[in-house]
Amino acid sequence: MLADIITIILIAIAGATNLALTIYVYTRNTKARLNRNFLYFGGSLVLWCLVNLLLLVFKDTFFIRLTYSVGTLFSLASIYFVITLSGITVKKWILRLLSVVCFFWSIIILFTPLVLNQLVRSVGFGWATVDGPLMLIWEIYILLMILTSIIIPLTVLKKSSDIRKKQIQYYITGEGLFALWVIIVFLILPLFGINQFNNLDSPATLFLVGFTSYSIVKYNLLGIKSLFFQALMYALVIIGIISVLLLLMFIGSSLLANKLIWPLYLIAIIVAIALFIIGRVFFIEKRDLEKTKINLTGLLEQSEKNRTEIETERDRTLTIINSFADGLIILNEKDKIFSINPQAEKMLGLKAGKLINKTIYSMSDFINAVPIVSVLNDGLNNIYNKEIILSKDVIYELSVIPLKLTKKDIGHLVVLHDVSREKIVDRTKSEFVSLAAHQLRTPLSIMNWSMSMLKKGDFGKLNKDQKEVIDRAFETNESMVSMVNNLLNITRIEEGKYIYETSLVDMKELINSVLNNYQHLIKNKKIIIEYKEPKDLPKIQVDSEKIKIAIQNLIDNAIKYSHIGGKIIITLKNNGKNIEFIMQDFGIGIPKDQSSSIFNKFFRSDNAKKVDPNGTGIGLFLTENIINAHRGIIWFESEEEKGTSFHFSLPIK
Amino acid sequence: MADFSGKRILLVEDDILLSKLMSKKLIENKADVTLAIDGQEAVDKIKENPKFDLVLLDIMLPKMDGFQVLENIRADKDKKDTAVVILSNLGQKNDVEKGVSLGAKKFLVKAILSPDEIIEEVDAIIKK
Repeated sequence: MLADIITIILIAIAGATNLALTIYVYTRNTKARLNRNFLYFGGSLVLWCLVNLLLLVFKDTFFIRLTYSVGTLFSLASIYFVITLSGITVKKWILRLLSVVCFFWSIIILFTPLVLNQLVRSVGFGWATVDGPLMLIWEIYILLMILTSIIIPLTVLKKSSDIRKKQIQYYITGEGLFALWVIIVFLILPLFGINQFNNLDSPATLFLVGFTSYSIVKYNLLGIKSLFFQALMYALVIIGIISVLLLLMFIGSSLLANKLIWPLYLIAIIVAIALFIIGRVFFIEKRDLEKTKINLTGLLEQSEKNRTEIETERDRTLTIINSFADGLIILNEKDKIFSINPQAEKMLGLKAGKLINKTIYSMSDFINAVPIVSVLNDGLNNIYNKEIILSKDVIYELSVIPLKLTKKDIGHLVVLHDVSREKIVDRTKSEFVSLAAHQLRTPLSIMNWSMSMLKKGDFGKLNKDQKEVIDRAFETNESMVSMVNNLLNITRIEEGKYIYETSLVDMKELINSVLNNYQHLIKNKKIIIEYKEPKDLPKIQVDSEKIKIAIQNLIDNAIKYSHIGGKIIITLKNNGKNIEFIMQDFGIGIPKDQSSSIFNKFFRSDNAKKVDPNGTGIGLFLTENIINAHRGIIWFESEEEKGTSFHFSLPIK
Repeated sequence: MADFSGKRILLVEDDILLSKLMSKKLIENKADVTLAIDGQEAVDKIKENPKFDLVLLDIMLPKMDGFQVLENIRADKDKKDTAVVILSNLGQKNDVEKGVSLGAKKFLVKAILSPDEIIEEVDAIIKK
């Protein structure tokens, strides 16, 4: 009688907890398949607890059949639940077949004596049953169903995602504890002669429902071990308290204690587990909610802060765009107009308000924008510094820059740069240089041609003195010509007109051709030239005319500032990544205190002025500019009265 | 020495001395030389005469500059393929480009070259 009461209490606690958990899990997400199947799974267990309770009260054959029948239905609900939990797909006909077989068994058990014949009251606690002929088959069937509902999740455990893996682990833990419990009450306790707890299988369903519901509700699960350990500790503490209380209460009455101690332990364990699971699912979740709320508030604050930062950044960008000196038109990813800055409005006479979100073509309503539209209409690629002439004195350079955000195109930026002033200055300079070239060169050409023809005897043979005079005049004129050429070159460099036209050039050939032009001068000054060139020398991409000028200037200087009969060593070296040119003379050298100014425009060292008062101080300035424009470097080593060596190196690629 | 025998060359040069020196050199090389001292005269001479084998053309000329003369030649149906060598003291990139774009065979800078060198260049073009 006492055992019955204890059992009824335990079943009632487990059933009520199961019901609460089942409803809670279901209502959390009524649309999810997992939650819906859990409703059947948990519901069948609640029902099982209920019919067990009825059985204990009425102790009738119908009710024991009912428990078997509901147990059968539970095995089906388990299979459904496990399939959803494991995320596997099963053919519909198999499920239908399983369902039909299950309902078939339930009905047979409930209404025929084929499985369970009748309930027989036994001596003492509990009862005995008289099995029907199909009992063994049903037992095999139910064992297979339960095994299946454990094997299915085990097979997918390894392949599953982290969350699903944890859910399956919880489910299996619940199943395991349930099984362990049943083994204890059905097998182990009877071994010690304790038979009165045979009916305590249904309270153990709490393990199953508890762990499983916990796994569904909680996604950020703790490790299964720590949870199990916590549950165990919880139970042990309560058992400990109860044991102490019992010891105090029943000290001296060992018989009573013996009779009571086991059921009380069991009550304690069930209550502890119920409390623990309810605590985990409800309260910890509440705590998590609180935590989530705090996190969310933090996130909101952070995003608000970010928003302000982004807005500030956007305002800053807008200010930059709006106050930019160039006209800017921003096109979106569909190449429709996204934004036009005030400068662009002014330059093209546009009205931004009328054009936002329109096509480029719609700008042609504004007469000044027509030339730009016609360029943009041919495609937005490869437009860089394209000259757009609106009128004689209004010239823009148009560039289109693709806007990319980590490989994704987000539109184009059309940039209009006003180059009118530069172009006018350029034009004026150009006209001036042309005029200067003409005015200076015309008298020089007259002298050049006249003396050249006189020298050659076109106007009759000259005597020795006449020839000497003409030769001297001719040479002076030649140096005047080269000075004017240098002057014109310098003007061009400064007006940015010294455009480099590069081609693959063999430096050996280039140096030989320069040296050829100097044979006469070299001979006159009795200079010995030593020329060292490497066997292998790749061609390099340079502007041959300009490099020629650079080498000419260096050899000019070397000859000019060498002593009569001096030596000049010209070396060409392949340094792997670059080609180095060295022009070494043993002439007057460069005074140390003036060496820092040697590449300055119009600079001439004091000793150089003495040797050649007519030099311009342009040659080295020009040479440095040429070498720099080729991404090369130029330097020198010099000692006064010992000589100078100029080096320059040009990149091979 | 080049041989220009049978070749009719128009020399357009406003400086009398330069014109005299160059024509002397051309005649020495047996060319049939016609002279013009300004752009207008050059255009007239080209129009009046049968097509020249070569026009040696200065750019900075009185009345009409050398580029205009070139444009005129290119506009003339019968004379448009006349060979033209520019002989000028200009020589900036844009001048050279303009001359070449108008169909000049070569752009020679007077101050840099001697008359003999010019004759060599002209010979090379006539032989082509």
